[in-house]
Amino acid sequence: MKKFIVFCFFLNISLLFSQQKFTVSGVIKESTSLETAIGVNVYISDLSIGETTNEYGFYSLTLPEGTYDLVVSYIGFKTIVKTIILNEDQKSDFLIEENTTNLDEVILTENVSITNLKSPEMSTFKVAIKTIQKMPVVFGEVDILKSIQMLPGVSSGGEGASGFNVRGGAADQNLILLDEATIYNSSHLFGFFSVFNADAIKDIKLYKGAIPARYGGRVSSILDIRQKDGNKNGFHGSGGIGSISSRLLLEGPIDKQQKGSFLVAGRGSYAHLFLKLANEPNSAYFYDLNTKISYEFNENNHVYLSGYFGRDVFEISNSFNNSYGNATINLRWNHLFTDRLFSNLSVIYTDYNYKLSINSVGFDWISKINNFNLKYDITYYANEKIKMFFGLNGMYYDFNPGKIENSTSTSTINTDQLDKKYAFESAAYVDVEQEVANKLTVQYGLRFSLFNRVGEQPVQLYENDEPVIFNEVIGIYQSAVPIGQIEYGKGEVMSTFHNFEPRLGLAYQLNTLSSVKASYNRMAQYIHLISNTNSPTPLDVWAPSGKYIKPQLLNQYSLGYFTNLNNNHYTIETEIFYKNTENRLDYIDGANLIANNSIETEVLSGEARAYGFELLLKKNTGKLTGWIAYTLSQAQQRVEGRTPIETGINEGNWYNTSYDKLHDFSVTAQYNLNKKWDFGAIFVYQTGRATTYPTGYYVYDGLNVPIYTNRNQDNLPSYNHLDISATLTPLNKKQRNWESQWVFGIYNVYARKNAASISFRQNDETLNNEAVKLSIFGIVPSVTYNFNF
Amino acid sequence: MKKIVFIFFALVLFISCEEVVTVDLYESQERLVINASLNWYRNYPENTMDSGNNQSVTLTTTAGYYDDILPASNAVIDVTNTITNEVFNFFEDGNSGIYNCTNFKPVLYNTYTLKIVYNGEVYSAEETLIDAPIIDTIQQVRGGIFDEDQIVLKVYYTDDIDETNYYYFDYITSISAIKELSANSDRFTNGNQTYEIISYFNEDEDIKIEDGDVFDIKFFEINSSYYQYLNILLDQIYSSGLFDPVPAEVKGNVINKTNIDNYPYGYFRVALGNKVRVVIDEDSIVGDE
Repeated sequence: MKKFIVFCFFLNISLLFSQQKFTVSGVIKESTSLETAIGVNVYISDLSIGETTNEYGFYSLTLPEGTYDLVVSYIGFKTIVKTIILNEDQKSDFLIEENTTNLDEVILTENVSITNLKSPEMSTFKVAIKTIQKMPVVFGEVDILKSIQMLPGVSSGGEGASGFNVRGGAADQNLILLDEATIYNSSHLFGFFSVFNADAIKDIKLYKGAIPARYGGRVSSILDIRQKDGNKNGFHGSGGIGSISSRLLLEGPIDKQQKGSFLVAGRGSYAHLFLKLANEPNSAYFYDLNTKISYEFNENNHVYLSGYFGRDVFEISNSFNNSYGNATINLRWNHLFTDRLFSNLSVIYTDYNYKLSINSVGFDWISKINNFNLKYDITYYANEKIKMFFGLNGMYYDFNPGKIENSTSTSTINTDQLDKKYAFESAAYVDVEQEVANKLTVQYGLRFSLFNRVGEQPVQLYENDEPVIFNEVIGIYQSAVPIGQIEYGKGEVMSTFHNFEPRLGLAYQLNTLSSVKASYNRMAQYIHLISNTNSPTPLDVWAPSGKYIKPQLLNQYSLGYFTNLNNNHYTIETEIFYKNTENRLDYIDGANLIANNSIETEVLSGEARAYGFELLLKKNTGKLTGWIAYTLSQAQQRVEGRTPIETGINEGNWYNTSYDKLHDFSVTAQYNLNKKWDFGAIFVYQTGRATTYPTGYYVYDGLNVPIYTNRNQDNLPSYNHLDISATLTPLNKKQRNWESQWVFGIYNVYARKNAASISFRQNDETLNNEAVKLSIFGIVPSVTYNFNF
Repeated sequence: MKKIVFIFFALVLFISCEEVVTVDLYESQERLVINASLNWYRNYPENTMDSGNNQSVTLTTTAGYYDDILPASNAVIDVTNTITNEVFNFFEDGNSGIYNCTNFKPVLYNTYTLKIVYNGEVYSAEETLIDAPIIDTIQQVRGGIFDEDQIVLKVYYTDDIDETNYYYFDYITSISAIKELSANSDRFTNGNQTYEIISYFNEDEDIKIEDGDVFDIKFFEINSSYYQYLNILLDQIYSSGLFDPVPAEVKGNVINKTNIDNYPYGYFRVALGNKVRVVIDEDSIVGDE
């Protein structure tokens, strides 16, 4: 007994001493530009404990007192090993140097994979821009959206379709953030270019699933894009002159103490100018501007001011003009309360608007969304086993669904303003990442979201609260006529929705090379893109949830297996997922959505589901690197009749969504021949988009009318293309400041005319029925001259 | 308006190309197709009324997309004026599927019912004869929607501010083999004098409307049911290929009383409309945009 008591006494004392923990923290930056580096691995190799730097380059590790070898490693950079004596809280900043030698000389040890395997993060794609810049270019420019489509689970509606689809989700279900500001339209020129100037981007992260509680507002994915801060070391510039578009970026310090920097980047296309020379009166072009100023007041306070402005313009002679785009401005303040408590406050203003002018009719249309957003996010690095995130988010929406004006004195159009809509969306969350047992890490969190629709606005009332009625005689849905109206005052609450969104992720390390992960998330989305075409058009309006339109609610379950082979030279990631969504809107036949003040009379609420299998094989090292991605999936939706008599849409049966793609296979490869030449290739093979073919025709009033019965039962011919590119980097023998590079590319090498659509018409000469395939790109060569100084 | 906007977007993709392809198509259930537009015309600008006595109803069946249309024969068709209880019988011309009536009496604001007995099943529909709108004037103008040099017509009419009105134009030009239909509401033009642009557009720039070419125009006011029918119908006929809404089945106002699932396609209408023939005369062209 006595021995036992003494033993306990010593145990207590030793436990007491072993409780002493200290924190090593700091910011990691790139040595040449002093840009903070995101996602850098910082770990203690002996203990298999590590962290990655957050979006602001900050890391914090709390460990028991002792001496450790701290390893800092990041792809494309030289690994640093530093011995630290951890007997007090200390700051350890690092400057990482770019590794200019070939990748196969970089030893990617098993330690890099530890952070990947242990972290319950799954279904995500994280890439530093250096990796994207090595990908084969499309149309002469590095394109973030096209790059993510080379991954499993991500696709687009096809050529001419803007936006992208993640795991069978619609294009309006992706939250796109640029330095924390929401971007409403991610594409220029109907998907041919993205709105992101890759030169100004530092890091991108795409969450296809296992979405942490700190994100919300859209149900399918989060694309979190971070801009560079600007080179604090010296004034530099970079850019490119291409056959379709050009870009220029200027960055530099704003003070001598290297505490502040600025960045300005502009980009524009000018293919339309060549057409103007050829007397073609039509034009289509885009331009955008990325700006940022960052300033470090002291070690604990950083401030960033970012701005983005982008526009797309389409013109047909003088009779038609359409322009639209995003504009955002945001101010962020990073504050370190302690070396374990990191906070960020963001104040954001966003404007998305589109204008349409039809001069021959004298019609002007303008539609806008304005957002004012306040976010406060805190990360608490409790100890080596627990990391916590919590925060608040509030957003105010001002929707202007449309204003119609007459533009000429002879116009016969009446001025009309569609009812403006206002809403508050707010959320609070707690997220915990915890190593529960030696091989098991769990991420669990809860997001509570609240949506209040407020006035000033009139709301139409319908009999039985049904804005859509079913005409039993003919068997079609029709818009109901309002029986009255309620007027809500300014700020008066019209409808309230709230949801608890639990998020759960697990990672179990099977061995040092592989792990199994599982996740569940519940997501809520309160605003909807109203669109009944195959892919979004600039006339599509965003509508907030309210009396007649309910928020979309989604559950996603995923399970994955990850393994690194041969010392991380190869990686295999495979996942299966299942999603179901409530309150997905669908449209009645002949829905008239343009300038419609009562959208609720054209929509019916339904459900959606998607499931699939994803496989990603990566070769990370060597002269030849790249990956093979394959997705097998199905995405469907259904609207059943509200009563047994109603038919529902498509007879109340499940039907494939327009972005359903059974097979999606792609290969991305880069080959580094020598210091001068790099080659790249992309091959894509996808099942053609789901479409509806006619099952017959008849003649009405002298015209042939195709008969369409069930929706999306057919598929267009398969979509496939091969793109190649070659990059020539002349040797900089004179060590001049001016470095340059030529990039030659060919999109669609074998000139396949992929079908963007097949439509069925009567030939206006022979009067016979025919099927007409519309394709957009044949073979597109491009040449770009890139430079930096 | 919707059609104009989507054709604009389609034009912008001037780098796109179109190709006729063959596609394997499934065939759906055969249905009866009823073309029963009993039109009574007022001639513009003379303001004379046709008698409206000679009317016809055409019955056909649906066919596979690349097949020929066959007539639906041996049906019994009659139209009854529900106010006067007069019954008008339609008799088939041989086996053509065209059923004629020579003694029809159209009366404004009267309601007519159609009854068809075909293959032992009874089909019926009801429609009211509404008045035609008044054409204020027709101008020949240089300056079309797509092409500033194009000669187009502007048909002016005045909308009634107190009602929601829908209008329908049916026109064909002498240099085209196929007619065009257009349906509008007064959504943007309520209460105003407004105009419809009647034009012919051919992608081949050499084929243009010139002096001496003729436009035959029919102009009606329609009710909201026919407007909804036409909207869906025109979405199926005019597809730009890229921003088309989801295709839909077009259901008309005729129902099969015997077997509700064996519904027919087509529509039954009784209407008073304007009929105009305009001959392009270079001297009459107004040069404004």
